[in-house]
Amino acid sequence: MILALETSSKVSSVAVAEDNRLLAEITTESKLTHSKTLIPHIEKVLKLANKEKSDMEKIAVSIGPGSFTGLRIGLAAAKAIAYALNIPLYGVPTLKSLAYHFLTPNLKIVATMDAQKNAAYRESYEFIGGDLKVIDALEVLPVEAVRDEILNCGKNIMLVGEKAEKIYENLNRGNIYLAPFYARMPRAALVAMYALNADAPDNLMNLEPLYVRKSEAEVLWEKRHGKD
Amino acid sequence: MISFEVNSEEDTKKLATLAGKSIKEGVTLALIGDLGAGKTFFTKHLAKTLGAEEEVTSPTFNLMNIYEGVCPIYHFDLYRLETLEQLEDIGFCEYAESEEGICLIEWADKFKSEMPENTVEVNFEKTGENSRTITFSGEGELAKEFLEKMKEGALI
Repeated sequence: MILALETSSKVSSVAVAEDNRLLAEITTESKLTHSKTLIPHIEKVLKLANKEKSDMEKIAVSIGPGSFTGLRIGLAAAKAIAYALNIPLYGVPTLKSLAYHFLTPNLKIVATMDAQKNAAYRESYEFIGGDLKVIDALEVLPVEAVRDEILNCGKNIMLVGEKAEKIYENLNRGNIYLAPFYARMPRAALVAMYALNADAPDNLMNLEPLYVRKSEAEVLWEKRHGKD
Repeated sequence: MISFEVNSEEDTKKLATLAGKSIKEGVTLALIGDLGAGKTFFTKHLAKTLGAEEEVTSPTFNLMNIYEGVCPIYHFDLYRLETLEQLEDIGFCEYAESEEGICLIEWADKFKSEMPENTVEVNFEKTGENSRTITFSGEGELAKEFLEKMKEGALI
């Protein structure tokens, strides 16, 4: 049995899965903070799935990019549980997990998370032969730049993630779709699925959140594109 | 812009109470002034007006305190921070840009360009041992609304 935690955004999500089946999941987007909801939700999900702590064989956690505060809470909890129960820990890149909302051929999936200050963490993918291929590697971009990028792409595009709605605003193109709300945001079920298919676990002692610092990324962006 | 002359702690307390009654979620107060100018004292009474029951102290070492009042109150002290990277590391923008809660930021002048929309600058200028000139100024709809309320309140 695997326990999966997803706290990289305003969505707090906890899931329990086994043999490629989702046994239980709690996903909420409320005003309560992760520090208050995460542990009670883990207890509830285990109960709903009729599982004990001792049934846990693996633990997976979303490692971002996303809210620094949220990621720290998720990783701290996941590491503590992995250490205490002596079970393998899997760190799952949030944007890649989002792509699995649409495991569909011939579709470019543009996954984004909020990077604040009207910017987004963006990575895009296509499923080729059922495998996830990265098309545009992870960057921090102004929302406008993501919009330009997709407007200049003739393929069918699905927007997923925290910034999808903002990017989609006033776009009127037949080839660009906004994922419906139930398949747009990060979810622990995706994190569990990703980890169940991962090759090897991560090292508990040195797994870190995938921080992409805007201050560093902006410098890169300006170097590449020139400052206006 | 609106200025107040205060001549005692009691005056500052009254002004902080007025600010507490005038402020709404989404407004950030950038508190600017030398050591001992009264930024923390002001914050203490503002937070109290907003229903915070915890002890309010300057988070110089822990960088941020959260108080539970009528809404979450995020109290930052940026005195120890030197670089943008450090500011990002503490997740500053996640709180500052949130529509929920009120941010009170001491030493905000160290990172002026990072302040969110609807920031009201509160400048504390020492004019004597116990007297200060406290000036409020800001742009943005919510910030202006706050300044208007401060003006109205000051007349009563």
